[in-house]
Amino acid sequence: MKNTSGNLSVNMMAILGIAIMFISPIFPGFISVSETRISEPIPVRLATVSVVAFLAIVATTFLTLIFSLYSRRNLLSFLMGITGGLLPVAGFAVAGLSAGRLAEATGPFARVSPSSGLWLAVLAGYVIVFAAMRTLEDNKIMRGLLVLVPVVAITALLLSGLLADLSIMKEFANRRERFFSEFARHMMICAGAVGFGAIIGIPLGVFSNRSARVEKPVFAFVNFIQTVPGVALFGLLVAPLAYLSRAFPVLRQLGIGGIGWAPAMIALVLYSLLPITRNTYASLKAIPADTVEAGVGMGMSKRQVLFRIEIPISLPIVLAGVRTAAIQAVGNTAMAAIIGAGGLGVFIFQGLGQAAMDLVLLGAIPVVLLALFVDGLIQLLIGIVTPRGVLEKTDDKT
Amino acid sequence: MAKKTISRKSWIALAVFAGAFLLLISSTGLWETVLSFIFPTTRQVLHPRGTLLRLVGEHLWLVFVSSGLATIFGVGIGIVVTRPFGKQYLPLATNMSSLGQTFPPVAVLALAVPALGFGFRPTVVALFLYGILPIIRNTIAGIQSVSSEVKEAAFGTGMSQLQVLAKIELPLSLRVIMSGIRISAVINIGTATVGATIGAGGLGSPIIAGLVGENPAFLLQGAIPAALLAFLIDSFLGNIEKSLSAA
Repeated sequence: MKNTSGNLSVNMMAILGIAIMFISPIFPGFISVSETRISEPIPVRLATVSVVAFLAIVATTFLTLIFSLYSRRNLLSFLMGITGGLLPVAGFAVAGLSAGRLAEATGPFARVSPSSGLWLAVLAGYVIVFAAMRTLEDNKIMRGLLVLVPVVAITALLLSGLLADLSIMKEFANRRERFFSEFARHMMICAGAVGFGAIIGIPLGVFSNRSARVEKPVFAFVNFIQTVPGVALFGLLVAPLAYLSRAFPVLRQLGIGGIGWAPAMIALVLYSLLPITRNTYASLKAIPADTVEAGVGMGMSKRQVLFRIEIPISLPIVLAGVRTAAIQAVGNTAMAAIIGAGGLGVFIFQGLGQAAMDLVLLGAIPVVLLALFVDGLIQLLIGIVTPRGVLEKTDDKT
Repeated sequence: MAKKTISRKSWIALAVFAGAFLLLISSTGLWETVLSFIFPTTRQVLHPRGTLLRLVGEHLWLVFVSSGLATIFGVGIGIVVTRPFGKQYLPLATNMSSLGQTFPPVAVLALAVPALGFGFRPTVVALFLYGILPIIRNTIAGIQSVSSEVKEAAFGTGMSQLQVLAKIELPLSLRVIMSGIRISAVINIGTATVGATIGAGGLGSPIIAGLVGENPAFLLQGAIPAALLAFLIDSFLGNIEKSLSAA
């Protein structure tokens, strides 16, 4: 425990999370009910939904508070993190279980959705889990479990069908196949864009490192592209591509036109260039000359210097650039649905067009989760490839 | 001395660019002539929502309000979590601002709609929430980069906590903070363009109208000024940032 004030061990971060968790059940809207999928949602308190659930959640929050007072002990700190992480999952379970009954009482087309109170519980859960992880800094297993347990619980809840009566799940059920195909398309567009971005961006970074004459225009270009708003870049590409596909029927047969995947892919590749090029450039600058000399002195060949010294040192930094590019691509692909590129953004813009908020969520929530997943995955990869001797900070500012 | 002339030069270049931009967006007749020449089959080449000047004004107002609020709150939070009484929240603030930046801006904008409805307000809130993250992050980084020896020396001369903050920590970290504000403003100019889909107006509206109605003239009318505006604001804030380092 680092945060001690006097004899009392008060974990202020955990207290903040628990305070938010206490607000959640008494918030005016824990869930909301609307007459149809597009009508005004009416907030419903948790106590109105179910008194038992209300008492159970308040009691568990108290329990979490008690655990937090003894969070100097590893086990109790762990328990605090577990209850804190499971509380929002329990909130979703309550919402799912009561959704059918509430909808029936409202009308034939009524929809039930999570509301501010439940989202607050998610925020509180994050803060509590984070606070617990901080106190368990030297216990990798417990820290892993703190993240794993809520994730497994919410996945199990989703798969169990208990949430089927929630509005967002109804939107999902109505377009199950479309959802999975757009999800796959989203991932393919992102992977393609970042892949091409790496194929072009890494050599650009290497050449920039070799000559200042290349460096200046390359960075002026990629920096400029990065400032251009996504929608504007799509807009600027649509007109010329439409013209080209009219002029050359071959392009049209390939599916390249003013709208669709072609302008989206070009824009996304262009956006991927800056982080990848910049980090490649920086990674090459980060290779200490004496390390290379030491390698040569040990009798390494040029190849060995490249594979045993230069690449291992630069790879984590290049990957950090790929990570920034990939996270950005996940979001920009959602935007690309505006120009008919497909992907999860389709649901966001359809939902906005119909004023059907749960359809918006069906697009937006997976996009956020995908971004978090890609972030975690590449960070894991960076951790694996970072040589033990290199404690370089591969931080990145975009 | 040499540094000053360079900075004056780039300010003059920026002023010329800004003047040209202003001239470009206010010459409605020029747009009409050029666009109807490029797209002779398009009947309506000027977006009906308003003059370009007005659209740029709407756009800047959106970004100004949200980035202004983000700056006040972001710097404030950054200062609080680096004080002795707020130190306990420092890891949380750092983690939240880097985790939050993984959230795609479009998703943040989309998530603001169910909570706040359509229009100007949800867009400002979404831009604010997203724009505050790089500012918090850079404020923390800037203040933490001030070496403890410098601070101890300041305390040694009898300065109070507040004086150290105002006279040592903030001036020394100003450039990093400014860089955060620039990043935030440029992201917000981009995201504000998407705000047109939820009825916030601005330069996104001709682009969206152009995409929906397949009108390439509308597209260019929104996209060109939007790209130039982003570049202009980035250069403007970048110049301020550079002049801070020279000081």
